[in-house]
Amino acid sequence: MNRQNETILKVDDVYLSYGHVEALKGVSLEVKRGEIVVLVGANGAGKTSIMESILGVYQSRKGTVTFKDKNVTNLSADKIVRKGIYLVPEGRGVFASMTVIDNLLLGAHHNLKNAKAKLTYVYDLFPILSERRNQIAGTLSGGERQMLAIARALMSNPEMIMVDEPSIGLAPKIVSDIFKILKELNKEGYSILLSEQNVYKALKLSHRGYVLETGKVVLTGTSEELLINPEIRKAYLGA
Amino acid sequence: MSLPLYYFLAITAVYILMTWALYLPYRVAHLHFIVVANMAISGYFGGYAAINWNWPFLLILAVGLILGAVVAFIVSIAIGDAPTFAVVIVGFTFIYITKTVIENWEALGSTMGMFGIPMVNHVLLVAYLFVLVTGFFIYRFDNSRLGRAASAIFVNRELATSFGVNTKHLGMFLQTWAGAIGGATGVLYAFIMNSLFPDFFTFHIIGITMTMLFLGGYTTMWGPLLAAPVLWGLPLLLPQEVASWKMIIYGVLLIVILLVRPEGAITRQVAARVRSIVLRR
Repeated sequence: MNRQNETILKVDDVYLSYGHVEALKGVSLEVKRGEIVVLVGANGAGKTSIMESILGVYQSRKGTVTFKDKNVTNLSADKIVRKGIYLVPEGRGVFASMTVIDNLLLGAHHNLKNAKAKLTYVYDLFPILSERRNQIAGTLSGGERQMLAIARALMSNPEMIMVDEPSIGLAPKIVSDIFKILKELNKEGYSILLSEQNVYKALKLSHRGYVLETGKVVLTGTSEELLINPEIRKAYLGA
Repeated sequence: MSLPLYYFLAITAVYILMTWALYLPYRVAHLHFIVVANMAISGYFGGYAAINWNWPFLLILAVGLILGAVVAFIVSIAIGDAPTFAVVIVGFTFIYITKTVIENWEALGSTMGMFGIPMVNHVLLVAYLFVLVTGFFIYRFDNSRLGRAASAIFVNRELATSFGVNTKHLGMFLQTWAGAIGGATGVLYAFIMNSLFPDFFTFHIIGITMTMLFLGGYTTMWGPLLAAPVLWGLPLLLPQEVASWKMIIYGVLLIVILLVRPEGAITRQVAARVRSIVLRR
């Protein structure tokens, strides 16, 4: 069987509410192994909510989430992380008062046995983090913090990484560097579900995309298709 | 050893242990005052078992520790992952329920208190051995993956959850451990003082231990070690007229430290600096 075509994550008709506010209204999507899939949409469209419901941070009201053919709907986040999904949260989620190495080891919370090997791996990937391993994370620049957040995800030995709005607050040059890193990770075999408001860059990077509006998927297709779609071009690319 | 020195050292050990019992759940932002009720329950149990059943001290200490852990564990099923304010409210409620039960239970001496708890040899030695063992395990915890996870929960519970930290299990574990320390400390206190009064196990001890925790520093285990002897010992050296205002002094100190140095005297940075100096030598 060609593992490249294997569906690693399937979200089927998921509904999520925060009190009376319905954040997701029957969202369905899938990520194949080795794919980068991007979620596109304005603020409040439901991109973060999808990621948080996949991870079990919030319990969905209806629908199923399947990861590697196993139903993981509404499992607790610690169980889902053990299964191989990790979230790089919006705003990086770096613990500013902890050192860089403590932040990294936090990523290996369930995987301490291999922590040493994983540290070597992430230090090779991000030499700057090796140089700053004993530095307090709060003193890192925005780009370094984003690298730390991605490196922390890698420490957990994931098969799929969800990256929520990685470009927020970063200079264009740094954003390009971060996207290059994501591309490299994808080449190494990581499946990536990316939420991003920088639509052009995200579609250029990804294989497929889903467009969300007020908690619903309104459009889907390959990135090439979406890049030339007139509605997308008008709404997100200023064409 | 003179009697004043004996009591100073013995009660210092009690306060160090009780402040650590507060410190542990506070690692995940839980102000877990139930440890005071654990102290009272196990203390009274210990006194009763010694007076009426002639149980040996060490057996009572072990049972008191387990009793504290069991009570705290049962409560933690409900509040292991609760917000801080809920844990505080449950703590106060539990303390007042415990106090009311003790005050209305004749066999425990009611409001008059429990007297005649036998004196035992080496209680001071046992107390400090218990401080050493407890300190060792807290140190190991603080430098473990669970310690890191607790620090993450303290800063951002939701974020820690998204990294796969089971916040409920960790909260339950720390509350249970704190309950065990509270229980054992209750037994030690009963055998140090040889008498118990229900009024001791209320806001009085919460106020003192909370001041010790926040003044010493709540981010490391070393804060209570510094603050307990200083805050307990200082009023003993003051003239009686001033010492009787002890609780007001504690209150003022608590406010000042929260304003001036919110993380307390011994912060993580201070502890790291001391450690690096010691290691260099």
